[in-house]
Amino acid sequence: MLAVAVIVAAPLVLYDGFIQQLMQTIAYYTIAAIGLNVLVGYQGQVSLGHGALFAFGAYASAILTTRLGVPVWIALFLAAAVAGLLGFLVALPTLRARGHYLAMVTIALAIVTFVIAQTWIPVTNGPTGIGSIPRPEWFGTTMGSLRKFRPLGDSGPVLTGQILYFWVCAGFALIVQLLTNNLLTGRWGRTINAVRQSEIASETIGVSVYRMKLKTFAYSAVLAGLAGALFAHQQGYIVSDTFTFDKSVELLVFVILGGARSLFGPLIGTTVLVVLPEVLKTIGSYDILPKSNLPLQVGLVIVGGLCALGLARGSRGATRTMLSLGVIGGFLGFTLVTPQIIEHFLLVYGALLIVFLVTMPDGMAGFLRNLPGVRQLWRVPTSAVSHGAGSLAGVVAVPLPAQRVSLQLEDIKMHFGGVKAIDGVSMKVESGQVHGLIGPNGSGKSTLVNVVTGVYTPTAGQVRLGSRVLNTLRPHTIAAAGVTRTFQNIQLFKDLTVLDNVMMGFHTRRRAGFLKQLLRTMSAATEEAQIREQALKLLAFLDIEHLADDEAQSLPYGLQRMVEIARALATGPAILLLDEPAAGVNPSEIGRLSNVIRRVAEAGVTMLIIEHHMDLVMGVSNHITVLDYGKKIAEGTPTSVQSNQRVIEAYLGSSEHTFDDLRRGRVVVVQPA
Amino acid sequence: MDALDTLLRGLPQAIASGLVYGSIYALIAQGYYVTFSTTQTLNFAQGDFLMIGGMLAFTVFGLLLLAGMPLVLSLVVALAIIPLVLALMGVLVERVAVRPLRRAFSLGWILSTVGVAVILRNAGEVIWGIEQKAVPSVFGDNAIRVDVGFFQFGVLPQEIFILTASLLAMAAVLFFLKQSLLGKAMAAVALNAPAASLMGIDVRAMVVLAYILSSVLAGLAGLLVVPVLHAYSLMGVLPGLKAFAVAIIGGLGNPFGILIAGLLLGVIEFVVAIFNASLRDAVTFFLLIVILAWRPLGLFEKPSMEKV
Amino acid sequence: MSTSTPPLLSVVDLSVRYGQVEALHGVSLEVFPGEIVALIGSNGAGKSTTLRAVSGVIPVDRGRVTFDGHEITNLKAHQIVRRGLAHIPEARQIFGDQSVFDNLLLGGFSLDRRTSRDLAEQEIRRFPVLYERRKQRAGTLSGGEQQMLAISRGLMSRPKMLLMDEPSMGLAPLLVRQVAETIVRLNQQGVTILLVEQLASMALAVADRAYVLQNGIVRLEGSSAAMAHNPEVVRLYLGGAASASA
Repeated sequence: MLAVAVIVAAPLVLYDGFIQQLMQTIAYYTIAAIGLNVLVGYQGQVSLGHGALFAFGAYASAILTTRLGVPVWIALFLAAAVAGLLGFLVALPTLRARGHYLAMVTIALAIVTFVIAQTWIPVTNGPTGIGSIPRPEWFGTTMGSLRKFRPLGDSGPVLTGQILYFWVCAGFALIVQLLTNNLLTGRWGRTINAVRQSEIASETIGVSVYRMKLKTFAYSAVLAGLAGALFAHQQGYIVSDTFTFDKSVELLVFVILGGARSLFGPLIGTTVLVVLPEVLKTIGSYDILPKSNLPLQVGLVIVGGLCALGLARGSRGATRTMLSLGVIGGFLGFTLVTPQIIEHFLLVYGALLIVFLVTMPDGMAGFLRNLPGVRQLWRVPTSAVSHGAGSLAGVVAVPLPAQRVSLQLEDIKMHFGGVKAIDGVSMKVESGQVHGLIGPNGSGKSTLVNVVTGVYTPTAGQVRLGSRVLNTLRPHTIAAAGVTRTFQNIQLFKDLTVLDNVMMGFHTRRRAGFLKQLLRTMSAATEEAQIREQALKLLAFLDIEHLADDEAQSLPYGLQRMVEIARALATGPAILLLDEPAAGVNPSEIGRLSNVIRRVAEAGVTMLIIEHHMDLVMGVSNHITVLDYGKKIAEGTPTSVQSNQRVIEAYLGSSEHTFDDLRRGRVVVVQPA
Repeated sequence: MDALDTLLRGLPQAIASGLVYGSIYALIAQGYYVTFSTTQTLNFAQGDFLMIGGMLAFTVFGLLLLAGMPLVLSLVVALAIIPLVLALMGVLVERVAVRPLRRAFSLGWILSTVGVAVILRNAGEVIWGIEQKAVPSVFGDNAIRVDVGFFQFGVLPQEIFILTASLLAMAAVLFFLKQSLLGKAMAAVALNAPAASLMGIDVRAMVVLAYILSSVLAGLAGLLVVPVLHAYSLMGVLPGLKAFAVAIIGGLGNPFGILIAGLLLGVIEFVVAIFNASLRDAVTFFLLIVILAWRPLGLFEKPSMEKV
Repeated sequence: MSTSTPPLLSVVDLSVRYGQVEALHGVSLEVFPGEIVALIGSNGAGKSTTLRAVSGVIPVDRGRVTFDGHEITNLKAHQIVRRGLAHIPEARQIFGDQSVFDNLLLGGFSLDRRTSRDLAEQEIRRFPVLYERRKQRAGTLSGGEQQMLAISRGLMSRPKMLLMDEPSMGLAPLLVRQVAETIVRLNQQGVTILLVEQLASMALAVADRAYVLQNGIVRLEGSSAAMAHNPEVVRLYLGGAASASA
């Protein structure tokens, strides 16, 4: 509401054609920046080619309206669709590879687009450009003319086309902001956050990381295209020189300096960075400030430099804030009183970029958020309802005894180069069992878990769940099939709350699609509420519902482990693999852990537990398999395994290879008291 | 048939010119390789470092010629000054724009080095003005015509110098990286920095060294090209980006792949230019998109097994 | 510790955190010149973390580390190596892309060229398998050979003291035996050793004294002989039932 009021009022207050045009610019760049923020900030994928998508939007809309006579209102949406499709096509092959490759391909896209715009004269007119791109009309006025009129009668406000077009741009921006907030604060945002923080954990709860990335890229491409179209209709004519690689960088700068991964960062960044150059130019052209005042210049440089030195030495909290402000202030002040520099605005811009990046790693939004006292204003606690420790049934889809299946491994081999991490292991995890897997370090236990869950494809052998062969499936498909896991080095989605982590676990059983989430329809909201309820019950089952609102990474290790187990249970697994659940857990919490494992087992979940902590694994398992050097050396009940000579040798050393003789003849130099 | 005829007639010249320019792309791209392999970062201002190298060459040549010194001496002085200045710039970029941002947010260093690029372009304009500058070649301006049956083309002596010198420079760098202990230490840092530090290797020093090396390479490239390309503040933009494409296509971890990709792309560019000069600058990036879609790790890189 | 000789390495109240999680909660231990001291304990007890903090690979949160009379707390890893304290890391961490011989040369990075080369020629002969494969890529060596290489490489900096992290990991019994012999031999040649080991029988056999670490604190300490017969130690390794049946 407030936003609408501001948008309506702003141009009426700032009654100046130039300023209104500036505000239009802020509005459409904000749209592009919001989309890019979803991709870069939340999804964690770098695109240096959104300027190209922006260009495609601009050209598409321009050509549609000038050559094909398509009405502006329709052309805007078509342009957005064109950019979205292009983004999708570019991302399709690229996102399969990890790491920097999206950045590389998008750079290429940016440059190819520029060259196409420059050279494909019949379509783009190259540097000459496409002219007389119409603005939309409304009340019989072309949105852009400065002619004043009073649509609401003589007593109504005086309007101009500029104002109307600002309202159009700002209206779009507002809608985009609201819809995107819907996405980001709901399940979609949770999922892409999760993917950014741990792709592997996302896969093991059934998220197709690839598809998720693809959708996100397409969404951000659509917004870039829409922004480009609005740009084209604002300018009236577009030339190829506008769409160089720098345009992509500019968009990225809006996002990063504004504050990636913050809902309103793009708006803040765009506003500051569109306005700032104009302010600098204005100040530069008037004699407001003292100029070429040497002591002042030197003083400012020293202040900025000292603060920078302070930052380089590392500092936290309020000191850091002060130092950052000092650096920025010193630098800006210096440029403002040094006419030789301010005339070269881009020089300042480049330097400012670096200064901002270094002093505000979380962007302006992050900087504001970290100001003392501001953080408290943000927190909105969700009230966790206590349900008491209930049962698992009804909360997650625990398979009925008749549907339970066993996990079978047949002659699995996993070789890395010359290293035979697993060398022909066969075993069967019977349904309803707690199956322990032990063995000394490096015996191949973790590799086995990775093979079963699809992280590795075995060199040879077969993994079967019931009759289904899992060998070649991707982890997220295996998770959907009913095999999930926890990790030795806990892989929680660190920035998410405990509740969000567990809600992520329900991913495979959610139905509301992208559009429903975007518009936050009733069914999507109901589903979200149900899942939330179930997640809370699951937390209650594990006695950690009071932690629902805590950030996962703030918990002690033992509790993080519980959260990880809760998240895995949420997928409704037939088989749950626990990879060293006791690693790093306090001894006092071990009892609780075994208790939880027993209760999960009672609820009917089959488990395979890899563990070093013998008290735990011997206590909870019905059946134990022992690995050594990638081979199975023993199998049986805990008691039989513990008295097995080969097992004792594997752990404590062989009786044939005692080391006692080594001691003989040694002289101990110093005998401490 | 006409097209084929044009192609055949233009081919020798395209190959000759392509190899010359390709060697420059490869030379700059080796700089990307050096920093990326040690630090997983690279300097997007690399092309503008080339411009600074070229501008410095212009200044040195200008001053010394004015003082009546022989051309060769100018070259020698430039060869001494440029690496020194560029090395300092490399240290500065690493310290100011890369190191503070390496951990904070993976995007940070991309944008901050782009910021460096923006600064350099404009500083170049402020210091040296906007007009294009010609620098004389030590080897004169008389093109050497080759006219042996099918092979009809012309090259400038300076172009031969470019090809030779950049190949030599690359050979020297590769020799340093692969054979010297310091080079091996850099590779060790790239492979496993904690383990390298346990060998007594100063990881930070190796990172700075990588930045020095890459910057010097770009500066040398600038010195080499100014006699055939005019020097101006934006001269480094396209070579920098093309070299980046070359590095990706050849494989950011594969210096030999980069060399081959550089020469190859140089030739392809000039072959395309036979038909449409304006597409010359685009073809590299088209190829980049196609090749990345087909082999995401570059033409010559083998995918490696990732351990969890 | 009232002996005439001061400890070569002294760790006082060492704490380390990984992010918000404290992994070591005040570990104190001493190693005297000429000793082999074992640091044993189950997985995740903090053994490797202790070594990593001592050698400067990870930062120390609290506490003091003194080596050879000088405080080395929070010095950089490469500076600590130069003071004569070498660390052979867990899982070998050899440079797989480089040749066996180059791995050794890198180990001697802090020495001058000639000394390093001469020493490498000596070290490569310490284990005949390495000499045979001196030009081979280190990544192609077997686990045992890699461990030999890691030991030789660690010795290249001419350390007064070695920190060894799980040298038996993933090795067949015969090779473990060989590693144990090597440790004893090195010690006889004057190298003080702090040995982190999961294989308690080996560690206790070669060491003079031992510390048992559990959940980031020292639970037990004493002479190796005493530890080897301490039922608590056995229990920590094979669980309650095992100590009953043992």
